[in-house]
Amino acid sequence: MTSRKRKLLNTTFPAISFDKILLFHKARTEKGISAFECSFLLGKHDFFIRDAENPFKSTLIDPEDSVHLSKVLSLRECNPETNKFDLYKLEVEEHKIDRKKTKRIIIIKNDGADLNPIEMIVEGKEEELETSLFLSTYEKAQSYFRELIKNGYFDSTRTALEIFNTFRNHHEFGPNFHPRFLIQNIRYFLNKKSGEPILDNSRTNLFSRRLFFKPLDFKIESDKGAISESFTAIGINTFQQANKWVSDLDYNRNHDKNNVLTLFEEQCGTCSTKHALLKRLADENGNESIKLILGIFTMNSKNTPKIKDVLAKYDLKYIPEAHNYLRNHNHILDFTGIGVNETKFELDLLEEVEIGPDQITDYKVQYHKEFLSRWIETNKIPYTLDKLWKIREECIAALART
Amino acid sequence: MKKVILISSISLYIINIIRKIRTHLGINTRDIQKILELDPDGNILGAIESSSNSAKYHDQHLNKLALAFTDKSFELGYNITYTLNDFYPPIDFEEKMVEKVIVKIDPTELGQTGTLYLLLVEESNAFFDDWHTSKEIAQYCGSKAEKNWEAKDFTAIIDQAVKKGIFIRKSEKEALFKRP
Repeated sequence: MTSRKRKLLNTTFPAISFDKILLFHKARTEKGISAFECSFLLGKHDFFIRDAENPFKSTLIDPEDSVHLSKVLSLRECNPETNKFDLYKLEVEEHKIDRKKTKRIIIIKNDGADLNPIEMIVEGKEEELETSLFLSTYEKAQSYFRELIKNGYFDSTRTALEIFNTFRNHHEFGPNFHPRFLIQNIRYFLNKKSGEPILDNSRTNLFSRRLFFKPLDFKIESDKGAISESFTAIGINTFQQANKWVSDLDYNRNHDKNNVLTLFEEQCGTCSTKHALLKRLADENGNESIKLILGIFTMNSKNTPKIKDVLAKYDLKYIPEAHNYLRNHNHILDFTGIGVNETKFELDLLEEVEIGPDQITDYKVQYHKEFLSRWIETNKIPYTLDKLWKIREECIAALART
Repeated sequence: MKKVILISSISLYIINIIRKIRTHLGINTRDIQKILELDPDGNILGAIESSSNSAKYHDQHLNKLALAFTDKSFELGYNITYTLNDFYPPIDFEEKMVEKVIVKIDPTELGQTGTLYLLLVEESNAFFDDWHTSKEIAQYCGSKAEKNWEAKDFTAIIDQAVKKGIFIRKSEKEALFKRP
């Protein structure tokens, strides 16, 4: 490996963060886990670790990622020794080894610092490092992966680390299992072009870690009930097609919420009628894992900017609002069609209760009002329930304005 | 209408463990500002240890705190060397969003310095609004910490507190102390 081009650069970097990066770099290269594989298991973008190892980038490994990475690398501790320096002055020599590979030689130039040069290879995405860990085979990893899919493991959302731990806990792979073939299989089950796109990775959790799950779908049997029949009559034959159809309908209140087919007739709906319809469809087709939920969340100017002026007028930071959505295993499904981010929404949830599709009218209002009464009392809100309900109506009206 | 602040379980663990250690070592807001090289009139600790603010520590803070806590620990004769690992949770700690609840520290968990500091500064205990002798202070702190402490256990600690300005002495002749 002879270098062709050489470049000398100087930079500074937070010393303790640099030491931490070196600690993780050493641990991962000793185990033969590539920067991409580490980033993947961390649930971040493909080049997260490569960026963190680059002293010219500002990516740092925060306490949450430190603990997560230590779990990935089976480390007992995730921090270097304390460092008397705040900032390192770094001299970085970059050697272009070939078209794809660069080697960095880094020297810490602070007075009294260890002057031994630190070598780091800038890895390509598909770089495979030599490893002493147990690789198993792609086929064996796939066989167990298929077993997990079949057994409903991916009906819940999973982080890459959760999946990795499931493999490590399996007798065939064990605690020394290398994640290479697992990651290759996850990518296979996501790949729409050359794989079997069974999994969805469009969501992240509250720590911005990528989630993997098998989206719920089933064939709609037209003879299962009135709703199934109505869907198939308009050419919608799967649950996912029905979700899209419902989500695309205009957001408007229905005249007769008790009519179970109102969405087909009025071509519009709200969170309650839209999700009650999908719940009924799931029930008709024997999918009992889907739950219709009534959630009370903090409607504020951040998650609902259009109500900012109304809240300011009445000196309220937020108002508890009722919302209907579906829950499947550990995740929320929202087909209201107004761009609700399910992950962020969970942060604003105050309370939730499972309801039946026939409880979206009187019961929902009653439940909401009871919550507001308790909220007024607990928080010493200077409004009566009637007044607060009117304020809430003002908020809804502000929401409807375009 | 208090809105619940949610933060990561890991950040909260770090905040509460720092709170416990700094109380044990008698380190206050002003000390923390100095350790972190921040504006002496600021109050980062107030934000970090507030359940209505999402502020948290990062590694650069923790490195400085570990160095300063080590110095203080040796100064007080506890001789503990702190590293960032002392502030982090165990590796198998679950990552989740939790309500930011700042732990209330019980004097029974603390030594003399920590107990005096907790009652005098953190809890603004009314006992210290009046003049007291070292013996009275030792007995009062001991009663809260469920320990049998004597005046001599507090001589150096009270001197330190006077130097830091969190205690005042009535006069050269009268060894009576109270909150400024």
